[in-house]
Amino acid sequence: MLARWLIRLRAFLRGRRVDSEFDEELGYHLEQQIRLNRELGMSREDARCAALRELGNPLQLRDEARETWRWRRLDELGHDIRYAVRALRDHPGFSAVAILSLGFGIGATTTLFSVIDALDFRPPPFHQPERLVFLAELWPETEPDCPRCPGRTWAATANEWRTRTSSFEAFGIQNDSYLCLEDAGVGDCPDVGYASPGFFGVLGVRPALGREFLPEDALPGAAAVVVLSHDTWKGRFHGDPTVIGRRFEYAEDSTFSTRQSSTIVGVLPEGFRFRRDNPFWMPLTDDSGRRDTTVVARLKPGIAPAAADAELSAVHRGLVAARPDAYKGPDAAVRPLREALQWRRGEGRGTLFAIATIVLLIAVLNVAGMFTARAAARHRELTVRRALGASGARLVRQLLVEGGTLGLAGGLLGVTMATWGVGFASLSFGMERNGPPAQLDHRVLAFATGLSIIAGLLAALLPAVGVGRTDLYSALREPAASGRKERAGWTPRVLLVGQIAAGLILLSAAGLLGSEYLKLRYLDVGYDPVNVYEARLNWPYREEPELMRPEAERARAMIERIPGVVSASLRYISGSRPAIIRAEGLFPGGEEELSAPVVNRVDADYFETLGIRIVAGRSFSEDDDRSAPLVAIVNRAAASAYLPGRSALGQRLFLGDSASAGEWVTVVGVVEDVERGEYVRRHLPRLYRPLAQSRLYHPYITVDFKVAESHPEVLGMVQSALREALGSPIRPVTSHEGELADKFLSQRINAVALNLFAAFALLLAGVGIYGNVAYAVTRRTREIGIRVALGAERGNVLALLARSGIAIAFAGVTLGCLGSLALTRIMQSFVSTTSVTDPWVLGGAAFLMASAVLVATYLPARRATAVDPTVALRDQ
Amino acid sequence: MAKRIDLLQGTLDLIVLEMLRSGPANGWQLTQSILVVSRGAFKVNYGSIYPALRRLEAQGWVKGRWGTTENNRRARFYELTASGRKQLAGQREAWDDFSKAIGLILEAH
Repeated sequence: MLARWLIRLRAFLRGRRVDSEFDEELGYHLEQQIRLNRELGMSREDARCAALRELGNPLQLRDEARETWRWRRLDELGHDIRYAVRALRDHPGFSAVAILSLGFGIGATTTLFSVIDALDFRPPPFHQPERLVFLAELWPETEPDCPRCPGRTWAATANEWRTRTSSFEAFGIQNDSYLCLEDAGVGDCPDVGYASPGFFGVLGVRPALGREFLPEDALPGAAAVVVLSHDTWKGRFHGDPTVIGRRFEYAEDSTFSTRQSSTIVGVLPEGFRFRRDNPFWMPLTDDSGRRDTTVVARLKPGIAPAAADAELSAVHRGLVAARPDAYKGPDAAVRPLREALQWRRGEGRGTLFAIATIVLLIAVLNVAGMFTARAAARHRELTVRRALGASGARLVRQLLVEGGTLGLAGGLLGVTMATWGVGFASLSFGMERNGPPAQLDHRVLAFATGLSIIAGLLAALLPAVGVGRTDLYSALREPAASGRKERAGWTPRVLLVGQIAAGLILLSAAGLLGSEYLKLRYLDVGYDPVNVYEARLNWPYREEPELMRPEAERARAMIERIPGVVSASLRYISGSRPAIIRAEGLFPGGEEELSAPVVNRVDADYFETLGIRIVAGRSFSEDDDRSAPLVAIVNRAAASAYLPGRSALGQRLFLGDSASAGEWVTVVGVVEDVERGEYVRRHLPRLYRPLAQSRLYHPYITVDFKVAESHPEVLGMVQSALREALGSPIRPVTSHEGELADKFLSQRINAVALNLFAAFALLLAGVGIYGNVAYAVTRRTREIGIRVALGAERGNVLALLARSGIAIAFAGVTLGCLGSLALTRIMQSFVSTTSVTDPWVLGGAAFLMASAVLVATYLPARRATAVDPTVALRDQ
Repeated sequence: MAKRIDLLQGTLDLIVLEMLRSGPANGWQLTQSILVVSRGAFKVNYGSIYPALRRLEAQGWVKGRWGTTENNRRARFYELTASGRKQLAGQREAWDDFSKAIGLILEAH
């Protein structure tokens, strides 16, 4: 009924006015009744008394009448919220701990949810993303574990798909590369993305300035054009609106030998990212032929992805059947766009999310425990309210609102913490520049809000269950602090046990990660990276790389002469590995199982510069040149892989591309395994050959040098010396230590985060126990007084009080240990060098937690026994 | 004095609507006229009349408005609306059926 709603709306908007109107109406009635009474002969006083008596309770009347014109629930909710906020303000200690706890838990969970949302749930920020798909060739050979995992596709293949399929209305082809720029003599090579004409249009992205690529730009011989990313435009070009049409110069590679000039034709909108945050974009030319690309397409309206998939598969298989050698993979598939945008990062996000949920759970348990203790203390207040007419349900609702309000306050704090957390998480998961960015958008905020309310409600729910059924009379009659046991006695204890157990699980997880990180950090990486730097040099001798050899040696010698440089050496990595490696004397049948080693070609000073320990034999010397017998040095892993069970020195190995094309080398030394690159977890066999005995196939070489002290001056001198030697800008030298630290960045952040969580859990558990025991002790003050007055020893009373605390601690720690052991499999994905059931870690964590709990038990108990018994007896 | 009869639940609405049929009135006037017309049988309490009036207003059967009485006091006057009239007719009919049925039962035994 419209009238009904209008009345309520009016009352809602002008609440107080409507109430006073009603009072006025009653007031008139009262007046008239008094007048009538007086006319009937009563005195003034009597008339008034009689009239008032008849009126009854005006407030109650008003309340009843109110039912008709207000949304009662809304009213009550408003009242409850105001009451809850006031209660929070009145108990600052309680509120602070509760809000901090919940805030921490919610912050952690929200941060990780933002990561998961970005990678798994959020639709890509393009126009109608559900109509965009990723077309991929399937290469079973490169991914033997995943025969239907998508791979990259040659541009030529993509073009053939474009002409032969009818399910798609637009195609976009893209790949990534780099270009090199020179700034004041220092070379830097930022990323560049190549995109086919209309690529941005396929995604529905319109440039903020200028235009995107047209078909003319992709024709061979067309004038070079470039499109900038928004950040590049703002940064490098200072947001200059006249940037369109300007020239942009760059070099194709780090030799800086071929310079190009292009025109800036467009600027992309802010926040655009495709797979990678490319600062520059250039058109993918038609002659890209066999370049690996990512292919995306927009489905025609009405076409389902499954149908498109079937068509593409059929078309591709037809192409392969006609010309089997011209294609990489035998089949092709249509996949969701999301798979094109992700890099294989973000591993372990599920586990971290689970851990964050545990943290939140601990916080909820803690707050629930605090609520329980407080509910017992408010017993009186609540029973009085019931006596005044509040229903049990109303009281429960009010407690829930208190919980919800607390939860929201915690959520506010949590979201604030998450704004920092997301930054760290992006670093840790490598999402800073690659893949979709993790951010606190409205979806994540909605999640945080919902989670806050649920957490708060849960925390309030447990104690609230007991409140609804309080026995009015007996509660009013008994003094608040009697010696009797509480009715809801076991709930707080169970909560505490749960908290301790969860906290212990967290602690042990933190301990595992922490020890893992420490091991990695101070890992015996096999060499001494301190003060060792590397410079990657690229000589302009693509056609004749051999020309590089004497120049590289000259550069090396020049660097060694610089004061402050201890030693310098050359390192050359050949792109291909030998296909066959065989040890002399080993059965021919054993070849296929041996994995080909990485081969580094180094000069005589290499092992000394890097500080690689020589375990047996010798290093290379100047004598190991082209005229000398072919030699090699193996690392430990190679020695045990290729020459097991015997001394490697003097053994001969065959390295070749096939059984006939190769060479025999003699092993003259064994060195420690050196962990670099991605292969920290496995000891890879590695072979070293003298640079002098190697053929050079490409003009890239690395100079490793060690300095006495990492002085920027020395590094500057090395840099200019190298630039002089090369005659072109070079990329800045990088430090080995820095690279190692970066590699472990993810582990480091995870370890720090987890340790933070665990410390927090420890604190909460401690505070929880302390509060619980303190409260229990307060209730038994009278009993303590009696006991001491009757002659009990202080120590015995202490033991008596502490007993429940110890019991809780024991139960919690046991449960926690069992839980940790049960979750070993999950933890295994996180740690590699530490065994998940490492007794030191688990034992240490248990010890720490137990100690904290015992201390928290002891302190209040001790304080209680120090009380003067007369005071205790008098206390009500 | 006539016997004071307890008002059956739900009949207050019918009574108020009927009283308002003859014209607008405020709460005080209503209680007085009900008392008089029922010859002292129904003494409606404050506690019943005002919530009932508000209830009827919420249903849209009466409309409340502020006005002035003879002695220039401010009071809230209620009058029947069109839908209120319809409701009254319906309730009267229902009441007739009800009392007829009761009558039948009582007579039969």
